[in-house]
Amino acid sequence: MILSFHAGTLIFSAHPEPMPEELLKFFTFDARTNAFTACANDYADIVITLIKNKINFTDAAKDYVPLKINRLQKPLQLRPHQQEALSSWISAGRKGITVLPTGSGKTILAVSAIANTQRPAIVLVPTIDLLSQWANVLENFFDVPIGILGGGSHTIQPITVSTYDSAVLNMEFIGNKFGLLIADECHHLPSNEYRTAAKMCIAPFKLGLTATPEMAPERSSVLTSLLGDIVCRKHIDEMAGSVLSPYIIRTIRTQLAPDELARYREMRAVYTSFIRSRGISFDSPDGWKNFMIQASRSDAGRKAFEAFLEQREISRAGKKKVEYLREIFQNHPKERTIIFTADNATAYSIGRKYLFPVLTHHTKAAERKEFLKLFREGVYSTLVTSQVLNEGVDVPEAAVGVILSGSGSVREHVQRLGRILRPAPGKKQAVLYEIISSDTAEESVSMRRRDHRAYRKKGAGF
Amino acid sequence: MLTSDLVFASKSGRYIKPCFIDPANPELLTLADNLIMLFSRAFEKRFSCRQLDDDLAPLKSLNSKNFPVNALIKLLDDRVSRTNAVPETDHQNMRRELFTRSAELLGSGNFKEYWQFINSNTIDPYCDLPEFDIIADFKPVTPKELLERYNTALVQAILFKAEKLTVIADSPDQGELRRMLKYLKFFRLLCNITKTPSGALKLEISGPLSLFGPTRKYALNLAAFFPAVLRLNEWQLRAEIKDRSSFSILKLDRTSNLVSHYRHFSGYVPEEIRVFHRLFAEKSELWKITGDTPLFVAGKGSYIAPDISFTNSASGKILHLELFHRWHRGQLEQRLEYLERHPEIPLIIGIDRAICDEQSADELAKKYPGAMEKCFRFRDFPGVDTVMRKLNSQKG
Repeated sequence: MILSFHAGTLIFSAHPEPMPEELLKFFTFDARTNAFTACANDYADIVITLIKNKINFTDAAKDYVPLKINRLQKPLQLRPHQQEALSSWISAGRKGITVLPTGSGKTILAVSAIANTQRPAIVLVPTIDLLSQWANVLENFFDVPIGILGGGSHTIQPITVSTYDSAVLNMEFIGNKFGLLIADECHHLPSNEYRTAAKMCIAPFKLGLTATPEMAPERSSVLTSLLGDIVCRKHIDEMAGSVLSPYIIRTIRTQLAPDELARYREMRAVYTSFIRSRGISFDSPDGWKNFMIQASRSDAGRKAFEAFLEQREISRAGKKKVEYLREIFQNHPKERTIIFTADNATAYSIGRKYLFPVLTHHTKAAERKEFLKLFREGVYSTLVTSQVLNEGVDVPEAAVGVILSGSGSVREHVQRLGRILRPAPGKKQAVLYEIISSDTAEESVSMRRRDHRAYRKKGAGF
Repeated sequence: MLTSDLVFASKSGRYIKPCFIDPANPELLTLADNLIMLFSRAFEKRFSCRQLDDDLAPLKSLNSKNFPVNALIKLLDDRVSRTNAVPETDHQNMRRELFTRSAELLGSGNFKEYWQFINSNTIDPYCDLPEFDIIADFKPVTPKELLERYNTALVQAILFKAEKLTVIADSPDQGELRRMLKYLKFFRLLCNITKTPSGALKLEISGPLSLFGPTRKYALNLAAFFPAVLRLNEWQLRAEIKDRSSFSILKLDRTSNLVSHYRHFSGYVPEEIRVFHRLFAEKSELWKITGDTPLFVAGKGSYIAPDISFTNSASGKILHLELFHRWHRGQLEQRLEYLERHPEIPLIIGIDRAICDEQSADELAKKYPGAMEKCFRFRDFPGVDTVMRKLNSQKG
C-alpha cells in the first residue's frame, strides 16, 4: 500500500480490496482519477490510524526528513509570556493558535517552535515586507539558507517563508516538504482562497500567530479546523508598560474649512438622498455591493457615487487636518513618527508637502528596505504610509503614530497602534494621535474602530 | 482579464446572465476603433499613462452595460507594456538627498528653516510613480476582435467565482476531444466524463481538492480553460457561481456566439519538447517521431491522450508515449490498471521520479507487472536514450 502526495491531496494506492474501514473517514473515492483520495492536511491523523491499526504502508507522501538543529546561531532567551505560549503549544500537541499583541515577540516564539520541533518549516505571511523581514530573522538564528516564495523569488529550502498568495499557488507542489506550518497574521488564513494553502499541506505540526483573532464564527471555525484551538492569549493592555511600551491615545478633532464644509454637505446630501431613495442599508452585509450595483445603473447613481467619493476625500484629508501635523512635528521633533492614511493619494500628497518618504505598494522592494533602514537608524524621522505598515513590519523605534484617516476596522486600528508599541531603548511612552474631521462621517467611523479593549484602557487618554 | 467592478451581468431568478454586446454593432465598433486609436497614438507618441488617462477620461463617462468603455479600456491596457519615464534618473538617490535634508532640519528643531526648505522645493519627489510611466508597447487588435474578446472576458470574470464547470460536448470528433483533454492537462484540471442519454459527452471539470467540498482554488484555471470550450462545434456550459451569500448558475451554449482567442494552442511547443524532438531526430535512425497522436478510449468515460508518437521505420510499428509529471500523480494508477488489462494498447509510459520513487515503483510493479514493463522513470523530462531503450524493448 502506498500513501502518496498529489496536487495537495493524498492518494492511497495499491491498497487491499475492499478499502480498510478505518480509513474511509479520511478517504473518498475519486472517480475522475479512480483513486482513494484524502485532504493533505489529514496526513497526521491518517498515519496515526494506519499505525494504530497495524496496516503496513509505504509513506511516499512525506518528502522531508527531520531538521537537525543542534544550536542556534544566536542565543534565544524567551521572555516569560513567550515561554508560556511555547509550553501551551507543545502541550496541545504542537498545534494551535497563539494570540499575542504586536511587538511582544511572535517571531521569536516561531523561531523557538521551529527549533523545538526540528522539522522543515514553512512560514506563511501576508505581505512582501513581512517576507523579507521574516527571512532576515530566520537567517540570523538558523545556520541554513532560508527559502523565499513570493515577491519574485522562488527558492524552496527546509525553512521557507512564503506569502499567502504564493502558498496558494505552490502548495500543490510543495505541500509535502514541511513538517511544521506557521501562519503569521493567521486571521488571513480562513479566507476562501488562503485556506486552501493549509488544506494542501501535510505538516503534522501547526502554529498560528495573530494579535487580532476576532472574526465571524464561520471563519473562526475554519481557522480552528486548520490550525487548532487558541492555546495562549495575551492582551495589549495587560502587557503595556512591561513587555510593550506604555502608551496614550489622543483624539484630535479639527474643523473643516468653510469652503470644504459647504462642499462636504452638498456632496453628502447627494449621496445620502440616493441611498435613502433606493432603500440601501450599509448595516446589511451586501449594502456596499447594492450601492455599487445601483450606482452603475443610472446617471443619478453615478453622480451619487462620485459625490460619495468626494465627501469622503474632503473628510479624510481636510486642510486643517494636514495643517495639524505641523503641531505634532513641533511637539515630537526627535521622535520617530509614522503617519497612516486611508489611501495612497493622501499619503503622497503629504509626502510631497512635507518631503517625507512614503511607503505604498508602489514603493519598489530595494527602496522600501532603504526607507525602513534609514527610519530605524534615525536618519529619517517620519514615514508616511497608507496600508503597507498596518501589519507586522517591525519598526520598534517608532514612538508616535498619527492616524490621519482610516477605515472603521477595529483590526486595522489595533494593528496601527501595535506599530508604535514595540519597546526600544530610550522609548518612554508611545503616543497615538487620531485626527478626525468634526461634524463629518469620520466621527462614527472613529467610534466603530475604537471598539476594542486596547482603547478602553484606563488612561488611554481620550 | 476583467476585474469584478467591470462586470455587467443581470440576474434572473437563480440564473446569472452576462450582458453581452454585439460585436457587429456599428456604434460599438466605432468606440472600439477610437479606443484602439488612442492607445496606438499613446504608444507612437510615447505618452505617459497619465496623458493616456486624460485622453480616455471623456470616454469613460459614457460607460454603461451596453457601452462598456471601462472594460474595453482594461482589455486594451492588458496589451500595453510600460517603462519608466526617465530611466536614467536615479530617483532613489534624489529622494534620499531630499528626505535626509528635510529630516535633518526637522530633527534639529529649526522649524523656520524646515518650512522654508519644503516651501522652496520645486522637485516632485514622486515623479516616477506608475502614472508617469511611458507607454512602451501596445499589441495591436482589431475593433471586432476587441469586442469579441470583451464577451469572452465577461464570462471569464464571472467564472473567477466558479467552483466547477460542466460542459456538454455533442458528438465531438477525435481532434476536438483531444484538444480539450490537452487543455485540461495544461491547466491542471480534472474531469469526470460520462455520456448523456442522447449520446453527448458530459465533462464535469474541477480540480483535485474539489473532491472535499466547494473551493474556488481552481477558479482561475477554469476561467483560463473556458476559451477552449468555445473551440468545440456544439457545446453547452453550466457553472455554479458563488459570491458571498448568493449563489447563481451560469448557462451558455454555442448560440451565445462567443469567439475563442485560443487559436494556436498546438502552435505552442515548450522548449524541452523542442529540444527532445531535435535530439531524437539526431540520435535515432530506427524510430521517427510522427506528427499525429491518436486518442484512445480507456473505458469508464476516460481517454488516453499520448504526448508523442513514434514509428519504427523498418517495421512500420507505431508506439505512443504518455508522460506523467508531478501534477498527474492521481491518474497514474488508473492508467497502469487499464494497461494491465489491455496490453494491446501500443503505449509506453514515462513517470517523473518526483511521483514514483524506488520503493513506490517496486510496489506498483508487484501490483501491475505487465503495465510497469512499459514504464520508465525520468527526472523533469525524459532523455532521448531512455526513450529509445524503452521503444526497442517493446516486443511484437
